[in-house]
Amino acid sequence: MSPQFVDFNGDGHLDIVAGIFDGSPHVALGDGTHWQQPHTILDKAGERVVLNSYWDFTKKQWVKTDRCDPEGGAPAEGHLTSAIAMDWDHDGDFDLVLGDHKSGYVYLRRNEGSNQAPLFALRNELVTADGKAIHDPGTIANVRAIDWNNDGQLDLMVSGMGDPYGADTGGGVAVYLNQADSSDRSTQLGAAISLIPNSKKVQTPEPSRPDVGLHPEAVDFDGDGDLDLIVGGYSQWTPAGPELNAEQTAELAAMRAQLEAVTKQSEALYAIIKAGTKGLDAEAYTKKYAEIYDSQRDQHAAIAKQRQELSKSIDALAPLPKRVSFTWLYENLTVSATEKSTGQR
Amino acid sequence: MQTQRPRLALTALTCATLTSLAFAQGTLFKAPVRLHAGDKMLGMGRMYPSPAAHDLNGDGRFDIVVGDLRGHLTFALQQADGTFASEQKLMDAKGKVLDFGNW
Repeated sequence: MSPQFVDFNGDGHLDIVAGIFDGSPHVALGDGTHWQQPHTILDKAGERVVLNSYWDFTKKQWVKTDRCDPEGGAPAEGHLTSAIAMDWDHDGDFDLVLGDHKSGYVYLRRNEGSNQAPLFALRNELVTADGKAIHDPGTIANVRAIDWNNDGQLDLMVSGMGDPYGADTGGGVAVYLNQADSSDRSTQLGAAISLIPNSKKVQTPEPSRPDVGLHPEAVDFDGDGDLDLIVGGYSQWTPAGPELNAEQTAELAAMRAQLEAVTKQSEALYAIIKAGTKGLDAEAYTKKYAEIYDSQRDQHAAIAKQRQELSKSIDALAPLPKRVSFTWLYENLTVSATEKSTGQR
Repeated sequence: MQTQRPRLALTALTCATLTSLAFAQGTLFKAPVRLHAGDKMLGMGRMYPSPAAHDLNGDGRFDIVVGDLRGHLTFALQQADGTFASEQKLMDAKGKVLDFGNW
């Protein structure tokens, strides 16, 4: 999700625009005091603004489409989870910039109408920077329009998901400076400038930074004249455990063996589901999956309980890796560092 | 207009690392610290917390709104001393939770 406070419909009140995991941008209109429940932003044909997959709330299933692909096709299958309103082409109305959580591209959907009567184009356009498509292999978590270098032009800040659970590289934050001048009728982005490097997931005994799913916001947090970053995301760390005596070491080994056995039981159940649903289309798959799972429900519950208890006991002796979400402040020292080096304020 | 420097609530760990700096192609950042709202950590445990800064109550100080993957929003009002009050759910005019929905 990517909440953005912006006067989307030009009525003088701030609205909330957000892309969410259902695959579309939404807006909650404001009246200056409250916001209405959100509605989906549609294109000029009355269809949802999407990339290649979205959740159909009526059919209650994921749907795939290529109707919004850029001319010539999309570089990869995309799934929108973030969106912001930004006047990309400087024509006085908000276009939409869309972040792709599945393949890591950024797209533009132009508004051919006005803020009061928007007419969003039927197709997406691939957003480029420095002549190349913006592409984060860790996929896009969030996009933000900010004036990072204080030149009066909106730049694009893009953050990455990174490998959400495994040991591979985590997410980071980059800014693409807008190099257009005020007379240009377009946004021209330069090469990526890293603000927060991608996490290497160094296992520390305490959380030390957001590692995956980075969602940044830029604001002058401390009022010193530069933009600081507030960043939501998951941290991954492994607490230090107690020193174990021989008895505890043996107990730990036994519990780990039990956990492994229980995990194999769980895998065997899912193998039955996989075999029973092989080759089925989406609708039949969902139905059959639920049918088999229901027949195994008691076994799944028993396994889950056993795994939870074993994990808790193991964790007390040898702490397991943690993954918890927080919101972090990155205080920008650029202004103060410049002041210090030049002696000027 | 905000003139007061917010006082940050820091964890014990970060005290030791506050002096270390992260350098990112011309931009210097202090080592990151976790933000608090009331007596809890801001956005802790939410599914993919996504903060936005906005002055919700018109007191001249930015507050922090946190969205999440479930499509819900909370807000933490910035107080006069720069700390943030406990998170509250953002409601619509009828008192219902503002719900961006999900799949």
